[in-house]
Amino acid sequence: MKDKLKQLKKSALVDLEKAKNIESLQDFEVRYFGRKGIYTLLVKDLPKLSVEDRKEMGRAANEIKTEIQEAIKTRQTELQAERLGNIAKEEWIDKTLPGLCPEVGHLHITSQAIEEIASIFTRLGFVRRKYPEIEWDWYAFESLNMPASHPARDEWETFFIDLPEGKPRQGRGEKGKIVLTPHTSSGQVREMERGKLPIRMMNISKTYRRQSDVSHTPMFHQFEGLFIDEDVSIASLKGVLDYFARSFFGEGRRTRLRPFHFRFTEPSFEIDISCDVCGGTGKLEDGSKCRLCKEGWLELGGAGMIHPNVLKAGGIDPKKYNGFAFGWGVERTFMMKEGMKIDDIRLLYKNDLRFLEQF
Amino acid sequence: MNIFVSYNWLKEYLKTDLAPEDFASRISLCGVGVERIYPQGEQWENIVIGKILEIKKHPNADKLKLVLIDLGNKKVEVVCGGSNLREGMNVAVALEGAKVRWHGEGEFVELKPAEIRGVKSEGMICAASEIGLEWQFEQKDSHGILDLSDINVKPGTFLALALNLNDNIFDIEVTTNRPDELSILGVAREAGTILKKPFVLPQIKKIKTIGLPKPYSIKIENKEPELCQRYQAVVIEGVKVEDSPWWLKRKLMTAGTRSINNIVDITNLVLWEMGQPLHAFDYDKLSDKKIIIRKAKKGEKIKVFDGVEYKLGEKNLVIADGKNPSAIAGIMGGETSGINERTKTIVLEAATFDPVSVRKTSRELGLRSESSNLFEKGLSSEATTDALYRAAELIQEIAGGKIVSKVFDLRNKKSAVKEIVLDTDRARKIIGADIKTVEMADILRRLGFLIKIEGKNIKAKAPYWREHDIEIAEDLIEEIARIYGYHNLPSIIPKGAVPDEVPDATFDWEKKIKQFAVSAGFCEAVTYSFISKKMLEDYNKKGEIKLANPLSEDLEYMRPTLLPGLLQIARENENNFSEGKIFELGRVYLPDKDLPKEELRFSGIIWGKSPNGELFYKAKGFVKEFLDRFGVDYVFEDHKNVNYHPARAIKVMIGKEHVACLGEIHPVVVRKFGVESQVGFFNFVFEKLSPHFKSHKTFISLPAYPGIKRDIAFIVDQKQEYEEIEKEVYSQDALVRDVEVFDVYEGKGVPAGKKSLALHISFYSSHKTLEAKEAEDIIKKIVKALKEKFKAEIRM
Repeated sequence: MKDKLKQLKKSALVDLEKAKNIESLQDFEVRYFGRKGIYTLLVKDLPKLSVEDRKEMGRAANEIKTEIQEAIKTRQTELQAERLGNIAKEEWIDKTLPGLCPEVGHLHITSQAIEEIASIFTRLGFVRRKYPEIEWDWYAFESLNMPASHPARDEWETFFIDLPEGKPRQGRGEKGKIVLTPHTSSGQVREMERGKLPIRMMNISKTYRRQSDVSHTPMFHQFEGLFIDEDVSIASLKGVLDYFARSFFGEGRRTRLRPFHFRFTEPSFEIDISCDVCGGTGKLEDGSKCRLCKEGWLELGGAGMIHPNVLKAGGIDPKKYNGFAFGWGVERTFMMKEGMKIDDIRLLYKNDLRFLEQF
Repeated sequence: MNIFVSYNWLKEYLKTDLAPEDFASRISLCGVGVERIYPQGEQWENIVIGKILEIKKHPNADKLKLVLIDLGNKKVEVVCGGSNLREGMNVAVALEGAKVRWHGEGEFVELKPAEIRGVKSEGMICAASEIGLEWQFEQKDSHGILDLSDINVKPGTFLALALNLNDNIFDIEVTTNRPDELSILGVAREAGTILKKPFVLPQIKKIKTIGLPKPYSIKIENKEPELCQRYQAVVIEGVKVEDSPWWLKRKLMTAGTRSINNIVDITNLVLWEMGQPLHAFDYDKLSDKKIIIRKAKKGEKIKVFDGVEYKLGEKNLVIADGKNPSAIAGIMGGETSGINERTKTIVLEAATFDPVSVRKTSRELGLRSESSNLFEKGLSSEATTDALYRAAELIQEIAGGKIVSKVFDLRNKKSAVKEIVLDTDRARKIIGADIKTVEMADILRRLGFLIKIEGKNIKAKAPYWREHDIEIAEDLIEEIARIYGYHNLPSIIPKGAVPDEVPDATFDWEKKIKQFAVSAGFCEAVTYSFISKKMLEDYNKKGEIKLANPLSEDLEYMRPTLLPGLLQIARENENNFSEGKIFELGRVYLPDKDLPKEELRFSGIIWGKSPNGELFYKAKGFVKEFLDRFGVDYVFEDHKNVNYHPARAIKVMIGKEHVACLGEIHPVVVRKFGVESQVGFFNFVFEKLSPHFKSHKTFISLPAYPGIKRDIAFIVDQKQEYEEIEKEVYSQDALVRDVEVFDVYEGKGVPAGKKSLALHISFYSSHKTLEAKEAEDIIKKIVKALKEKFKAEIRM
């Protein structure tokens, strides 16, 4: 028995050296210590020995077992180290293959622009509201100091809803025809009619005009701000617009108010922002004319002090309150910010995934 | 509306030496919006005047000549085929780098050195049309070159300089309320006010009507005094109609107007200079020697110049002779009574027409002109006299002739300008700057207002050229503020109370929904709110909200649903993307008793392949995740709709309310939209859904004791619905906490008409650690139940 144990230890240590990987090491363990392993079979004979021998052999067997198992552990560590040392070779992959991308969607750029613009005005206390896109002529024009025959209306290229005759609609005649809102200003008098003052309102909505070419879509989005309080000045309109321009376009950009004419504001302005491409000079580095802007300025939108007639139409006393309003196209503004030149603006609403996925 | 204004022309009435760029930016800030500056000379760079010294034959071509030209500092030889070449002639010679248009057609290109039929040509002798002067210089035949012998300059002088074409042209945007600015004098007056520079009016000579040789017989009758507030006319005899002098052509050229003949050109010159349209009739062509201002008769026609005929309606105002219309009032003159070389005597007209009438007629006929453009903005009846006098004087000067009639003046009523009182304290408050009362008054005075200062009030009367535009005190505030300069005002974040209002939660939900859909891999689409009749029909819908004036048939109705638009997107994208997921959150438009109802919808589609309802399950899975995320309690129920797949559509019920549908679109509908793929969808009515959104979250404690998981697989009838099985499994014991199907299989190894299902079943107790045996016992109960209820064959 003693010899057999010695023999076993010797052959085991030799075999162990032959185990060149973890798998053969496991085989080795089974071969010696498995249910029918060499060691297991050998110690099965122990009970056959005398009590004294059994005690001695038992201890010796245990020692050998411990010794071999220690050796296995050592060998295991060696083999593992060896394997980890080789993973550069064994676990090589082609790192230039594309990654497995998570499926992500994209917000439409108009949505992104709306969120961004709305968040800026929210900080100034403006509250966003929803008003109809299909609206009475009264709110779209008449109440905004634009009577039916006024030529200013031509500029809006308005869509009208075909109302079948003989199907009377409540309110018809009183508030005129039904139009697709050609501007978000149609929300002004509706907001005033709520009867709550002061007002800081924003209305961001779809608007419609009968135009379709590379720079116009028949449906687009406008932003409108309405501010009514006591003693509101042009200076505070400038303050609000400057705050927006700096927040949205960046500190370096300048704005200017240029006299303009709208029927529903008096005075009226156009808001210009300095061109980013030519740095507001109107000329490129090579001395040629900047093609993006007009003499260094880009038109952002319109603004003005609310016309007393509009306040009156909204039930507000123009002797006590006054205010300002401003508005502009969301798509245009966003593209101005990004310096993006989309050669055909209609792409925005073609919904080509190759386009949508770029944003 | 834009106007081209020549800086040189402007300077005749305004003393300024500012560089064009500085001038433009100064006046832009205060109301005269210069959009672009065009340095006029640039067009003729590298084109000089040359004197022909010698003409020789071209050695290799019969029709070409070799022309030796004196350019002052050098002589050049040029190959030319001009039919009117002669020695001693002054010509325009384009040198290398000049911009020319070959044979007067196409785009301008840069001239490069060339060899023509083996002979080197050092430039090009130009025809008028080759250098963009065809409107100013007559070109007799296609080979005729521009003869500049009349122009007395040294050879080598730049053409632009020789022709005085070194001007700067401002492209100015004028708003509809300021027709007075649609003229050189109007702009000069504004600029003078802004720059505080003297502005001088042209000297207008009053027409002398005393001692006329023989008063010409002409009868003028105004039958429409409401539509024609004033009609002035004068007869001039003995005019010589011919080509205009160069200075006149040049001025019209800066305004973008073509030269016709001296008489017409003078009327146009005064139109640009003073903003008052004029018209000249050939006296001899007027039947019965009558001028009648009346409405057109039904069926009347008029030929305008260029020979185009217009049919007139009974609402159109015309200027007629005894028989026929001679002009469409305020818009365009007729051909018959027009001025040509044979004209001897003219009737010169200066009138004021009703803006609405002119605008309507112009729109109706699709005929616009510089004149209609001015009239439709509203002109003052005060403006006619000076314009008539000025034109009459210029005509006598340039075309000869004599005034042989009194100045006819048919006037309805004088325009009354009312006095406006401006409270200067209020003005200062609104402007937000401390502008002194005297400064305010000075600004208004410079703009032509009549001013009285009374304490803190200014009483102002607008000048006649602003009579339609100045109505209330706010208008005066605008004048003061803009001339003072908006750029000079401070910029202040407004003080005052922020409105005490809770924001509309809808916007927040909308944002969250979009973000959720995007995180689930959907792209947001924004489609037009319009829809075509065909798309509606293909989607088994009737158009109910129709546009009266759609842009095209494709955009005729307002959409009652988002899905057709999304299907169209699938069709347009499936070539590039075999699978795709898009959604839209937008309004649909439904008929209502008053205005149409605008209902917010949240709809999406998934296109791709769906042999086993994969797209249905994707849609269902998305909807489940979405509703769970937003805290909505709901159940799915079976649903049938003509547009949905008969076996693959369900609806979402919240209580008794139907809030959404989902599943797959009916293949027939999909084909109608030209989509090759199969299409899964979901469609929510936002307003019905949003009241059930929960913004607060609840917390369920994590299990305190480990649970046990067991898998079970079995075969049941293929048509056996899973939901019943799941219910049955749950009902066996309260310890069954989670049932999850992880495999559904039909085919090899499973008998026909059967399917194999495999479930993960999880057991938990909230107050102890479960023993394996407890789970085994429940599994036995489940197996028994499945066998009994569904004839399941267990595979384990």
